[in-house]
Amino acid sequence: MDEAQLVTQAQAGSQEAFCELVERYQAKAMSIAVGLLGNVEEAKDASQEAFVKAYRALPQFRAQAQFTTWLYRIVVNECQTVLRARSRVRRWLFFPTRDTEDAAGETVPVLEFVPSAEPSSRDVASGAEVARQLEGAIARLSHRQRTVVTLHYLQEMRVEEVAAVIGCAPGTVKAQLARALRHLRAHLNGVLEGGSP
Amino acid sequence: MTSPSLEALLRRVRIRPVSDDALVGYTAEVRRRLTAAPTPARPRLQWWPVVVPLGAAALLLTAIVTRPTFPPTSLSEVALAHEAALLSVLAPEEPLLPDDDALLDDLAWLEELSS
Repeated sequence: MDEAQLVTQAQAGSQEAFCELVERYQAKAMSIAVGLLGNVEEAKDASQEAFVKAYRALPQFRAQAQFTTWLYRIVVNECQTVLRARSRVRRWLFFPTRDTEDAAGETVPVLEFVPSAEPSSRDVASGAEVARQLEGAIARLSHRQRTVVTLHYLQEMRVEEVAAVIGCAPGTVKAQLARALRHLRAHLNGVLEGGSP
Repeated sequence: MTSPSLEALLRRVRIRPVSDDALVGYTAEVRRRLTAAPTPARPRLQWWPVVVPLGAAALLLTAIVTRPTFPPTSLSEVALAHEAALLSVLAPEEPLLPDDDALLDDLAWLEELSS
């Protein structure tokens, strides 16, 4: 059964059809949430909540838009809610916590370096270090900049797709990306100029 | 790789793929949330049942402590004072009727006038 048929059936109230859609898009939805939240457990919870909200909002979904674009927008919104709540807690606690900490407070790497065809062990080690530093720098971006960087670079969405997901003009996405890159360059001075890896 | 551009670096990293273990029970949990009764809105914390009695108690305590005569007089003293006030109204210092001598003088004067 194709996506449009599943969506129509789900709109008519079929939970079975909707769960089929969940099966299809759960990995991608969770991956977006992991990129934004930097925490697998939170990402799982947020993306599941997004699916629930999507089901309840299905009557408002218009077939002119792509279902995935609409779904990913709900996922992004849910993650923004989590990030805002996290910022509030951090403000009240008066101490910074990293976004990439798991429930036990341990840092869990979210990004990984894609090695070249025949990587040496040195390449792999330095690649892991670059990924770690990039992850730290991305976590320091504003929520909006982190969102555009995650969707465009880490999820490989085109600028137009990112714009559709976050609901703004492509030009705005480009401007946000340029600003995000400027911040990342500032944070990654050593990595970019030091010639590592 | 020397002095890689930032964009090149960003294209060399990716989000770790979501493991199959992380997705175990994922759909079942979504299904559970869908079928679960909608979570009732958390009741808003009512402040007045706590604040109003506490405020009243604080005001009463303040009034008692700041009274000029503290500790307060006993109830019997209050009752006695009340009784005394009532008696002072009912039996004032000045007699309500003129004394007998004055009355007799007045009567004698009236008799003289009429004779």
